[in-house]
Amino acid sequence: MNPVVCEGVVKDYPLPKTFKQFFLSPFKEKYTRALKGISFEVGRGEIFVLIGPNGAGKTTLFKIIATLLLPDKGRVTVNGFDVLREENKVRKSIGYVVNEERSFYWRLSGWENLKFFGVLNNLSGKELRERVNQVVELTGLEDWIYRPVKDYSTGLRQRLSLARGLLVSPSLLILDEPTRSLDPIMAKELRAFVKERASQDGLTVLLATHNLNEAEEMGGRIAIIDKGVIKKVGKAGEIKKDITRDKRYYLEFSIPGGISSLSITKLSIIESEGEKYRAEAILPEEKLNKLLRKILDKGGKISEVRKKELTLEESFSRIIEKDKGYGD
Amino acid sequence: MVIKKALYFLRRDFLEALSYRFAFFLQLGGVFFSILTFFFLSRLFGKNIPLLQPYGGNYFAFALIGIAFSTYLGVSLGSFSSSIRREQIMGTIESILVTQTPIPLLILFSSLYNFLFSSFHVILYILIGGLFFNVHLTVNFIAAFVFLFLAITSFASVGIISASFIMVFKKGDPFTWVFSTLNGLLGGVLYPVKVLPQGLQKIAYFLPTTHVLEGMRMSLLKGYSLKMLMPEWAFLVVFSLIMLPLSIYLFGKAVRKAKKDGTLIQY
Repeated sequence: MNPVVCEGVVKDYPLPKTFKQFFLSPFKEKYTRALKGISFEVGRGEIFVLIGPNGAGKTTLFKIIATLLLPDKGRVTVNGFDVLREENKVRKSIGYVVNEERSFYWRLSGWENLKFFGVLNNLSGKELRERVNQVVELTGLEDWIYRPVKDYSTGLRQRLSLARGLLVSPSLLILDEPTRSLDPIMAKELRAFVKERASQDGLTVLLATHNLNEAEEMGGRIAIIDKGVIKKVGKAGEIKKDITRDKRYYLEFSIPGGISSLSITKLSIIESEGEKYRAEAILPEEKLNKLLRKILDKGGKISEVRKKELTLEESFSRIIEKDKGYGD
Repeated sequence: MVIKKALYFLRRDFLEALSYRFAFFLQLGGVFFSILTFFFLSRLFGKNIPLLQPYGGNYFAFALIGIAFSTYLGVSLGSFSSSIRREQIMGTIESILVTQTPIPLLILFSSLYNFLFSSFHVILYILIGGLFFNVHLTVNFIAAFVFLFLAITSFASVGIISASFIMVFKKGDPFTWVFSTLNGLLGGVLYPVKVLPQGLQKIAYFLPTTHVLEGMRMSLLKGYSLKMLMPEWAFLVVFSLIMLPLSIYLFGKAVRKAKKDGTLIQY
């Protein structure tokens, strides 16, 4: 049994009513669909990264897994426990690192906060003290832990949030944009830390991010989510290779009458000198062949064609844009 | 573990309250000045007011207990909903809801400090009244304690229903408004229920405040036993037995609705 199983998860949010709707049809609800049948499974010790633009449904999905939201359709299990019917058992095995720096009691110290959340998670006595000490050490908060949270920087609060997520020794760690407010060095340290926990302790990790490099660096599978639909799941390399047949090409050519005679918009010109051009194009191989033929048909000469790898960012943009109708 | 959790909620709220030192001590000062106001007001009426004879005839003693225990009503009605609202505004609600503590305990413990602080206020009211303003007390401690407990269970059930409104509608809870207005007007806080017209007296009979205050006054000022106050506590026991499970059920439903609509953290 995989630690995380999502089967056809659908989530609808009620839309706010206008005054007219409120008075004329107070019980009639209209909905917007945030998740449209999400399905995936995550294995033990695996790092699974959800990447997508704002409003794609990443946080909604994580909140459903963390029992903070109820799905309208579909089934989600964590370690075999259903999030709808066995939410207490689900909560025992998850650490949820919320992307909300105000999720602590700011006037209390980090230490008091961790102890409070530890007790709510059924830790007590020696075990509580030991766990708090461990997570403080793991997250490098020793110098700050007795100071009020209000005095912490955003990065320190994010570390405290991670410490809280690790308090219960979870088998599933859910991280919702954990590095959003961190500087690059701290973000790298956090990623390294999470990867180490996954490989050494068998910790399963779900991570949502906007950062494509981060997704690639985590080394696990990546799911691209947009408008409540998972577009593709795979390793970074697979996504770059499979999702889009588009490749990036570097071209050097000359054409009588200039580029306007080609009547194409796919080229981005790097440099031009008279009728000579250095340009780049992102397109599938068959379209490149058509382009080259067009240049030759117009009496042009091609001096160089070089294929380059698309970055993950470019692949991601192509996938998202295709859905908007910009890609072809 | 449950007691430990309760203690940690108390500790959290005490440390937070103490971190606002000025407000903390100002609240205590407020008790003294509120007593002083009613002390001077009572001089208007003199002693041995006929309608207050069952309570000893002294308006100051009557009003003192009315005000002291009506703070319980205020706390009970407002505390659960304000705790939820506070956690929503602070951004901590999801963090506590994702822990392994059941929701009814979370809501109960979030208000514990307010109840304890109100109890401290009540004791302070009675102590200051007894020590500095010659309020004569003949206390039946067992009866007073039972009425205090029943006051908490009855008022808390109404407060939890109010919290359910806040969880779903966020603002504008009609239940609290109706209940607190009716209790202030008809519950016998500042004047005995007997001064009301017959029709209103009948409505007052169905309010828990009426019975809490009657029981408290008689057990603190006249030393009445539980046997003598049976109609009062019997009403409160029945009220609590019906309303408390109902309120917890409604609150569970409200949390479920908020989870379904995705409005758990909205305020």
